[in-house]
Amino acid sequence: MDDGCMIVLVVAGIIIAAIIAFFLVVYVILPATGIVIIGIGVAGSGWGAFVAGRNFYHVLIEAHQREK
Amino acid sequence: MNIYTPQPAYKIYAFDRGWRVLKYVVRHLFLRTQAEAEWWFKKAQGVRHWSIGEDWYKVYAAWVVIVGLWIAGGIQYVTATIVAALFIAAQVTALSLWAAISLIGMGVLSICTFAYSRYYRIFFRCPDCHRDMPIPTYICPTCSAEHSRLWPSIYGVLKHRCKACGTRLPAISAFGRKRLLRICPHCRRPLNVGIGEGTNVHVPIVGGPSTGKTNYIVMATQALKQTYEGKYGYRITFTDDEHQRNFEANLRQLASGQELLKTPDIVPQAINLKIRAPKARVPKLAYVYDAAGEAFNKSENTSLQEYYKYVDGIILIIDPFSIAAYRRLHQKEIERLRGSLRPSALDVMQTYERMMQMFEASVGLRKKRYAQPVAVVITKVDALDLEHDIGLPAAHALVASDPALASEDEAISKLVRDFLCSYDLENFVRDLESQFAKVRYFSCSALGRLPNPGDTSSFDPVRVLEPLAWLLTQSKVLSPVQQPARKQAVMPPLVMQQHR
Repeated sequence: MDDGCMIVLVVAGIIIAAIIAFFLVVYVILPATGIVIIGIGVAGSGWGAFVAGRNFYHVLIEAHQREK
Repeated sequence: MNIYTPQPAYKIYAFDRGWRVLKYVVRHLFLRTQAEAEWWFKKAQGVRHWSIGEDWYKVYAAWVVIVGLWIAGGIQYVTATIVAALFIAAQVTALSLWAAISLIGMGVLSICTFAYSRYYRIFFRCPDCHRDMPIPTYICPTCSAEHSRLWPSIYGVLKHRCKACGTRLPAISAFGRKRLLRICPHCRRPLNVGIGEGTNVHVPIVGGPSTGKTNYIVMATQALKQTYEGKYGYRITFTDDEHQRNFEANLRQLASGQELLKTPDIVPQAINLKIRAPKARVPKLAYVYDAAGEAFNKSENTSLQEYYKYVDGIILIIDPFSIAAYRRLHQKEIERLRGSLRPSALDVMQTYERMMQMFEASVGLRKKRYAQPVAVVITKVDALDLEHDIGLPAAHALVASDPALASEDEAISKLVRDFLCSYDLENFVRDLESQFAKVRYFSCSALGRLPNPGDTSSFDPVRVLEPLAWLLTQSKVLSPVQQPARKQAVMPPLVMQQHR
């Protein structure tokens, strides 16, 4: 195989790798990142809403017991 | 008058606890949220520490988790803020509405109560210390805490809740406040149930010692009850059980031919009589003051009679045997019967002057004559044949000879007036008539005969009702159309002759 062929093969390999990397980033890594972040965030907000409601209830009861 | 005084009661939720609850909830909700958020931030911190020195993809994965944890932590504040904002909005709206409705309720009830009490002249006045009060001090039936402003206020529109025991106390009479024990805030003595229930009418009985004031008022009250309850459908009751018992004991004593004991109180306790006319919406509450005659012996004693500032009419009792000119003329007879007559030692003019001194100091000096009616009553007419001089026999004769006189009452008034003038009391009569617009003269005998320790037959009073009925009619307590028929009872001449 001559040098010309080698160069073509390397360039093609790089391009293919870049395309693969691009698709990997766009369709796998970024969605996965988003899913993880949003998943934790959603879980946190759900928990947060529950905790906020629970805290509010407890604090309200406490406040009224103090005022009794 | 202090309208607001701190009370041993809980304030209305909307004026006090509601706002404190709001503050507490908001503050503690965020304190707890902070603790919850800290948990997420600490987890993120832990992941960050774990990723230090790791491969890049692990660091990347770690930062993904860290960002997620931060968002989760931050959202704790967001949800808490939303919950707090909703709570604040709901609580502030509810409290504001509650407070506004309560204020309107308080205003309406206060205005109605004020207007009602002013229109009907209903006041809280202590029959013991004679002082006015905006409202009595009510005693909690459970813990005896004293509530000095048990009326619609920020402590409750219809009811107050006692802070010491939690008992709900009605704040208006219609809800049962009048059933609570209450005391005078000045002298701290219990107030009877009638105080503050009817139009106040204050009537002092004025006279020197031994003029027979107590005998007179007991007999007159009995006659008033018998006549107006029996004939005209009035309801006349004592609002204080003790007054009722004393009155009944006095009647028993008089029924057994014994005179009543002398009143010891220089500053008397008022006797409260509730007088309800047929179909009357509001009863009248008469305060009858029977001060000891010694109250008029000294100016200092007279000045203690604080109730004069409320006076609606005066019954001035005159012992004919304390009139100097009369006493001089009948010295022998009076001396012979001194034990039974017990002539008053205090001169009529002195009594009158001290009464006027107190009256002017209390009511104030006026250019016009005073509107309060004065009934001048000569007592003890059963003795020394006075009944024939200033009683019904003389009145009959006068009515027959003088067509200008419309009734025997008018004739008696004229006879008594002339009697006083003829015994050197013309100045007294003139001064009295120049000071007061309504003056009427009466003669009566509270006992009907001279007291005799050996005679246990009941006393039979003569014309005791007329002065009291006239005064109460002038004060609009009794209806003028329902004046009792004139009493026709005349002392038997033979009985009169015995005392001559």
